[in-house]
Amino acid sequence: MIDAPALEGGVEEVAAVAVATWPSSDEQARPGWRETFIGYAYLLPALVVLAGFHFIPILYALYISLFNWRIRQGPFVGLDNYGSALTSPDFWDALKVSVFYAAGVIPGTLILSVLIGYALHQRIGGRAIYRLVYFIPYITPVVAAALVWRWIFHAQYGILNFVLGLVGIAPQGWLQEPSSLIELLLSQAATLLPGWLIGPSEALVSIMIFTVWHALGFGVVIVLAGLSNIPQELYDAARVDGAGPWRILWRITLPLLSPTLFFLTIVSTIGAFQSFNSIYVMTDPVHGGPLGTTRNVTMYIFQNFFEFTKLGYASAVAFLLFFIILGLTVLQLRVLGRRVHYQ
Amino acid sequence: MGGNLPLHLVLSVGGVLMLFPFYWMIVTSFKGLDEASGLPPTLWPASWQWDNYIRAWQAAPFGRYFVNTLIVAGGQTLAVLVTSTLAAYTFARVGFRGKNVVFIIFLGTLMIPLEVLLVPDFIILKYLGWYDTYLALIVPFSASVFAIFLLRQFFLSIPNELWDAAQIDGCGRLGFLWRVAVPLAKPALVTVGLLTFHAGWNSLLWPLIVTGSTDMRVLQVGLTAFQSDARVQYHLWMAAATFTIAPMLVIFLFAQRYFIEGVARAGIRG
Amino acid sequence: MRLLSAVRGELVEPQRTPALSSFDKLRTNGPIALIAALFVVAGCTGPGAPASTSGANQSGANPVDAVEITRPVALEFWHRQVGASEALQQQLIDEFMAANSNIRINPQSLGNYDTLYQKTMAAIQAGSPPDMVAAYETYASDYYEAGALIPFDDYVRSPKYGLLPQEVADYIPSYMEATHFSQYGGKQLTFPYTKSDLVLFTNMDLLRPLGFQKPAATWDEFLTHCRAAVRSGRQCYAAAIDPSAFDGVVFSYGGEVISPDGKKALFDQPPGIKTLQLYETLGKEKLAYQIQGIDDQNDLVAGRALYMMRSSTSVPFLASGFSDNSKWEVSIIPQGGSPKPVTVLYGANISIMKSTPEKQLAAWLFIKWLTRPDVTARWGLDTSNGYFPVRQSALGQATAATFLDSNPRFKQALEVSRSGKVEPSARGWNEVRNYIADAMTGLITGKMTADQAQQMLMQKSAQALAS
Repeated sequence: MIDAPALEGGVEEVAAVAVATWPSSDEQARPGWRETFIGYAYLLPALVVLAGFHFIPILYALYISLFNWRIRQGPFVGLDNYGSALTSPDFWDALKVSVFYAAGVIPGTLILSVLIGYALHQRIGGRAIYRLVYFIPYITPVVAAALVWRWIFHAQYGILNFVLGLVGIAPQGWLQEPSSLIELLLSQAATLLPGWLIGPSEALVSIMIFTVWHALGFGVVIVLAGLSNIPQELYDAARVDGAGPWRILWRITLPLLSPTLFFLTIVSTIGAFQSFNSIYVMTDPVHGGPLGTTRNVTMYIFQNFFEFTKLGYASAVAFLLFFIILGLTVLQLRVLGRRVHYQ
Repeated sequence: MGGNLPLHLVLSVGGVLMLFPFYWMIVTSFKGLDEASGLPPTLWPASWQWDNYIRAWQAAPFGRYFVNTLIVAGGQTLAVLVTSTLAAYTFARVGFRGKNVVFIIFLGTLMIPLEVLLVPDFIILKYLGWYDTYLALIVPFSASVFAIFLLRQFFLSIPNELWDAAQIDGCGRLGFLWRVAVPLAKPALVTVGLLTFHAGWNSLLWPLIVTGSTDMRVLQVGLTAFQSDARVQYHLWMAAATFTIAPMLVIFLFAQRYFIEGVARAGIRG
Repeated sequence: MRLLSAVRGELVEPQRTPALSSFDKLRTNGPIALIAALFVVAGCTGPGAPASTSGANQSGANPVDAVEITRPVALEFWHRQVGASEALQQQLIDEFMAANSNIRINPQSLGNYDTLYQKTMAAIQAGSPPDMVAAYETYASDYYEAGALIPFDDYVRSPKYGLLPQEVADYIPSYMEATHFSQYGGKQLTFPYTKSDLVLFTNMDLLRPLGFQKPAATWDEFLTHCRAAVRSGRQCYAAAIDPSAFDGVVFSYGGEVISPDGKKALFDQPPGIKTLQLYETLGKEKLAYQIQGIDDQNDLVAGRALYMMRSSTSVPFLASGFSDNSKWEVSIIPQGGSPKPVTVLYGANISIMKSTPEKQLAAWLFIKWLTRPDVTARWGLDTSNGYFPVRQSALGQATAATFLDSNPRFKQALEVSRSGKVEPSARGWNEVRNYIADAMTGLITGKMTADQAQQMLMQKSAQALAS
């Protein structure tokens, strides 16, 4: 999830602000023109960049998406690009890949982050070292790290297959394997299952493993920060009441950590749906990985823009992705938001 | 703390798993091809092939890639620091008409995913004549809403008394900003700078699209090209990955406090 | 793997060589004379290149003649050569620049053909394409459709800068034919440059202990060898997912992959079905395994694979990997009943992009120089790349004979190329290639049956070719 495009300071930081508090309007008095002039003068550089490359372009993208725009602007087609995306099996396949990916990566990162964060929060020696160790993957460039994992996952020479071989597991295709784990386990019987139940291909699972490894440090640091906000007295009181560590985790830590987890979930969702770098590096981008099983929506947009030069269509799909992410975020705010305990 | 032994055990095993890819990268980068792709794999190179690094470095114009990346990530960082300091100061300290509208516009840009911007920004760059130039790589990312908000929080925390004292000393707005606010906000500026540099160093999708020639490739683009180069083999992959990761790792080890705090700060406010 | 696109080609009608009897007589004269003679024969009887039939002086003044390069021009040239081959190309460019002081060429290696194509298309859209690009025929037609490419016809016919009819005829006709596009009124959009063919590579050290002395000549033999190898605990066929190899197998079964009008894929015909079934068998019995990147080359050299099928551009790598020539073989791909042996003729060309008349002329002068018999002989017969010269007379050069005699595996690859046949250039075929790759992956990993693959291929290629 952290391998999302490096727009601004990284998606998660960006979303952090989006979720963050609204500004307190500290100046209530009506400002004078002099102040207003100075204000805009200082804002100008940032405003020009953000308006020119972020705000106006989104309107332009909307415009492009209404045209049959190949290399040059073609005829106006209204919502046809959106229609053909929604009726294209390729788009739905890509969306399926994005959903599988999110459904694996988000809980995976979240659970491990909480467990490790909770363990590191205990008064144990070497905390700083542990924190460093778990954080290092997050700061390594995704492209280089993905290259290393491609080597680890290598079907013939990879160390992973060798290690699994030691415990009697047959060599896997990993990044080259288009079948899902369920299919590999059930073989022929799996063909009876409907598409969505078969699950992600082994290739996609490999990328998900990589992503969890890479993003874990981010989650751990956030969880640690959240834990440090929980007042020590609450723990002390619980201990006095004779609560064991698991009970404390379940009854005190997790509820009080829920704003942090909520934040992590939203940020991870956005990141997961925008994932590009790891997929681009670890599987063959032209074919979308083995049998297209790692072509997510972002790759699909990239392919339509860059390889097929369908600019109008790519813009329409990008908007669809935008709406999906927006919808999910709003949904999470409404459904999960209600369950969050704020102190 | 003897009861923590199981905890140490779990954390250590986890830590080993986290670090193993780095170990494997470095070990492989020193092996010969036969040993690297031979079975069973060796945990320590039988003979150290130091020239793998020279071969990897020479197999692609990595020197050029590094310089480009430094220019791009450095340029973005400098620009972001300047634009966001000014903007953050304005949001924190200047009352101006339309502030709320501008603030909402700024917030709104946070919601826009890069995917939507790819096509229109590409066309805009075409009209500017910036395709395949440093400007295309730097300018669109020379302002960061995240940086603005982070710094704004900092500037808000500067007590009013300091501002009043500065005015008495005859400091104008810029004087106050430069002599008082910036020094006070140094930790925040370092954090913003590091995170921006980190993002710039790691970016792939955007440079992939707005540059064409080999001369303009940044490190991450160069590395993806390198791995699909017909001659390149795994031990050289690992050598290239090592020298791509190394600079970021060194910066991180020296400035980990700022990194970790920057990331944590992003989360706390949730 | 993206690398694979480095080995692909174009298909037009097979190159017919009716003078086979005279060809047979030559057989005794040694292979070099044979090859040279073959191309000459083909040149005399093959379809004449359009450029040679219409003289420039018939149609008034040639606009190209009015152009002069009076001031220095700099050309951006995007290609995919790497390593030793890139160094050789650079050497040729330097020589050209030394002889033409007004022309500077700035070559940029994009590393592989997919990147080259994507970047060129993006640069066209951004309004700043390079001045020259290495290009497959399907790429060239896309660039042309985008209004970014200049046809060669005026340059070739120019009395001042062009080629004489006998020079045009000296280009190997099948190469030349593929660069003329019937859908654009026979215009020549590209110029032959990097030509190679699909061959079978064998690790003889693995084959001999199995009791076989020669590389498989038929698919039945191929399966027999593979089963024997797998029984003895070895891997057999290191399979690159290269749609061109698939096309080659269809050809070898005596089939075509597309109908003559370019509208219908023929994977439901017996040769197509046999090809799919062959891949199904290879997958089911684990006789083939899917490789990443250039693992097949590594595996062949390291004795981990018995066979691989690839472009002759792999010859230099293997020649440096194997300590001596008895350890490996280069031969035509196994055959399945085609009336005469056949394989795929690969290779990219070079195209001129729209810029200024001076730059375009400079690009043409460079390309013309690059394909001069002596230059193409150096480029095409070199241990750095495994390409073939694009001119027939290049093979008659003394250096050619010396080179081929001392590099027998290169010679074998060149000999195989006379059975080469180009792949389709129909609109939409580029997309069909993706589905072929999917079918190959599905069959080799056992995820698809031959029937499923055929259904998928027929359905998707019908859509792709209809658009």
